[in-house]
Amino acid sequence: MTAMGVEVSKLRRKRLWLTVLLVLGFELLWIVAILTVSLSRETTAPHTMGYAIGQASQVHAIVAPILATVVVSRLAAMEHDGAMLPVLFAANQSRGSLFLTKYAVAATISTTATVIVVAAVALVAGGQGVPADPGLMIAWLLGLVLANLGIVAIQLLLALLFQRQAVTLTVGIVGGLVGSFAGFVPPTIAAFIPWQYPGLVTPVRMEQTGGTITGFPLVDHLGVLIALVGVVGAACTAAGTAVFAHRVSR
Amino acid sequence: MSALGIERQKSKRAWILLVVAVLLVGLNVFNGAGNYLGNADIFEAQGLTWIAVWGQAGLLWAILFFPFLITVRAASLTRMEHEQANWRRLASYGAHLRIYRGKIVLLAGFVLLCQAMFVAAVLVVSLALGFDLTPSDVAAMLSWGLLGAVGGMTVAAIQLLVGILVRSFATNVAIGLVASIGSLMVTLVAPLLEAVYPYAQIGVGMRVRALDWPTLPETLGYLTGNLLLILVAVFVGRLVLRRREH
Amino acid sequence: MKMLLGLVAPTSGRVQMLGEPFSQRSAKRVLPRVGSLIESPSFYGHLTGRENLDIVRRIKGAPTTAVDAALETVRLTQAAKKLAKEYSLGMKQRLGIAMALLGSPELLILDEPTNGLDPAGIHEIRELIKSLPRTHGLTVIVSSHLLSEIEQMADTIGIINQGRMLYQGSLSGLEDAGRLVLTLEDAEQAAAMLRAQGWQIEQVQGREVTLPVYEDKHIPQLVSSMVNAGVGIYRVEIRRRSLEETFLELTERAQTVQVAA
Repeated sequence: MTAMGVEVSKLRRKRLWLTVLLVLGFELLWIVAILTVSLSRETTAPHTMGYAIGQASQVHAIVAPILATVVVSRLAAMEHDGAMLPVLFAANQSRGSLFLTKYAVAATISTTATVIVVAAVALVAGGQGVPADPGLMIAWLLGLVLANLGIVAIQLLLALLFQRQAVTLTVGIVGGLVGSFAGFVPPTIAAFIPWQYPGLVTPVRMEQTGGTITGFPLVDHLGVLIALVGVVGAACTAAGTAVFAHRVSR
Repeated sequence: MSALGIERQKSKRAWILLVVAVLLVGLNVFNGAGNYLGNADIFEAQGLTWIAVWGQAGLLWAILFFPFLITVRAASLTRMEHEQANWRRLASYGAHLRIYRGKIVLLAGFVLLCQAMFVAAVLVVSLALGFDLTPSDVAAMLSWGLLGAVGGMTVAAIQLLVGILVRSFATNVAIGLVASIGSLMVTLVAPLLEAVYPYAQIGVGMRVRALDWPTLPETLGYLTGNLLLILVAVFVGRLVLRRREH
Repeated sequence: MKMLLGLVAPTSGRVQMLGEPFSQRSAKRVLPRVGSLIESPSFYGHLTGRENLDIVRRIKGAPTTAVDAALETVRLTQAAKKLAKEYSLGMKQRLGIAMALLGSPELLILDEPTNGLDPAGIHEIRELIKSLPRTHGLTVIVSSHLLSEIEQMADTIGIINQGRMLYQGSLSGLEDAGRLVLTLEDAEQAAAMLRAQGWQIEQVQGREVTLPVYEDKHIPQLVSSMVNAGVGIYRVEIRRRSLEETFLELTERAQTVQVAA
């Protein structure tokens, strides 16, 4: 698809990879730190992959929206800075096509980052003697990939509509940071905030008694949550494309 | 100071960020109050009142939300000059260093304002929850708030420098955010480094973990350390601006 | 031009501005006396034209009246309330010039000032620039690649090619004295005859005989001697090289010199 090729070639010398490396690298460092420290100190709860996922998910739920927001902002700012949107549209690129190709690039980057994070969790946990649990990992990975889609769609729409990137960055980051309150936001509320989806699709939840962690049992209705997330993500993508395509002015 | 006045004139829509700040303060303090009410019996038993709210609300405020606000404000201040080659124009007037000074002062005002809002919110909520606040309690809130603001100035100075070096708004914010969240990691992995890690200083100053008055040596160490960090950041910023070719 | 404003450091050599060697310290004294517009105009898009100018005024410490005066000078008074990011290219250019004028500078450095303007605008700005030394008592340095423009504006010009100053002096110094060119029926025969009579022949080519430009009083004699000899005369004219040709020749010559070196 030439539109994709064009989008990728626009990234030359932009050092987007550096920004991604900064955020992703930091997340990986943090996950490694938290997993090694918590697993080595943990005496009560069983060392399952669910435990690892539960711990790592607290980190990922905060960073994933940040990464998606920042990447999308960079992609949109590129066009705003050069005042290229009117030029592209005059050159007969359809607005829908622009939205979808940028979406595809951002989604690819997010998905790749997610895969790296999940792989890292598996590796580090395995290194600490945690037995492998491919089914759980795949469920988590699937959920996370779908969860990203909605975030990328909404953020892209905001980033392309508003030239002031401060707007999209504030929305995306605050939306993600809100989840840091009280560890997990209850699913009923999180279902309405797409930026909370990476946390929502965590296949396990923390069980505590009197302040100590006792385990990370599976969440009920995980399939429903993932489906919800996927549907909302798809809806956001469609809506985002439609809204952007119908804007009359640049 | 006219440079400050000029910077204020340029910041037309900064009020939007202040509204966001109010919301975030509200969110954090609400969370703190909710946490208190959820564990009211435990706290009552320990005789903790406003401190519980301060600790819970202040933790995320100091580590995430306050640095986020500072980062966005600093990034906006530098971004407007990167656009349209305004740094070059300012340099052609020989005004670039003066303008930098204006931005620092404006940012300092923003930091103080946000922190003041936080302290005020905790005060209000404490009164609403019916706490008995002694003058020493209020003094604690004000002092710790002020100390936290000093830490905020450190973050501000560093982020302003980052903004001069990095053109992209998003990357700027990403750096500030990652560095702020990194303070959580520092606390986890190397708690001793917390005293020197710049982005952790707000939390240290606000005593969100210690929840007690700092000793005199601690305070002096804190103030000197932060002042040093601020001076270094400002110095490097000036150096970069002066040497930069357009 | 960037070096004159301290925006770029010279790789070698020194810069002197307004009688002082240019340095970080002297910049503080010198730059307030200089107004400039380098490359594309800079402005804050989210502010109006007037607000932009007011900021520059405050930085330079100019009086409040300076803004209206500057707007008036560049004819932007009507559009002063519009956001700068909505300005057309020409209006942005005018805004940049207005900014340069604030603070009563002694020296104005303008980089392609008529860039993006329509013919009426070009004329206006050109007339403005020409009038500035008279009305504001300042000196203007203009850079342009449009020789026709420079011809109409400047008294003293410099030609820089590949980092070297090829010519610096008055415009008239570049004017070609020209050659007297006779287009004749039989150039060879006529040239031989004229040479024998003592006229200086520079070149004979085809039907053209080229001589240096003699004073007017000699021309009738030249023409009558040819007529008396029965030479068919088609044209008697003075041909001058245009400024463009002079410029191209200068730069080409410099290039060959460089290649040879």
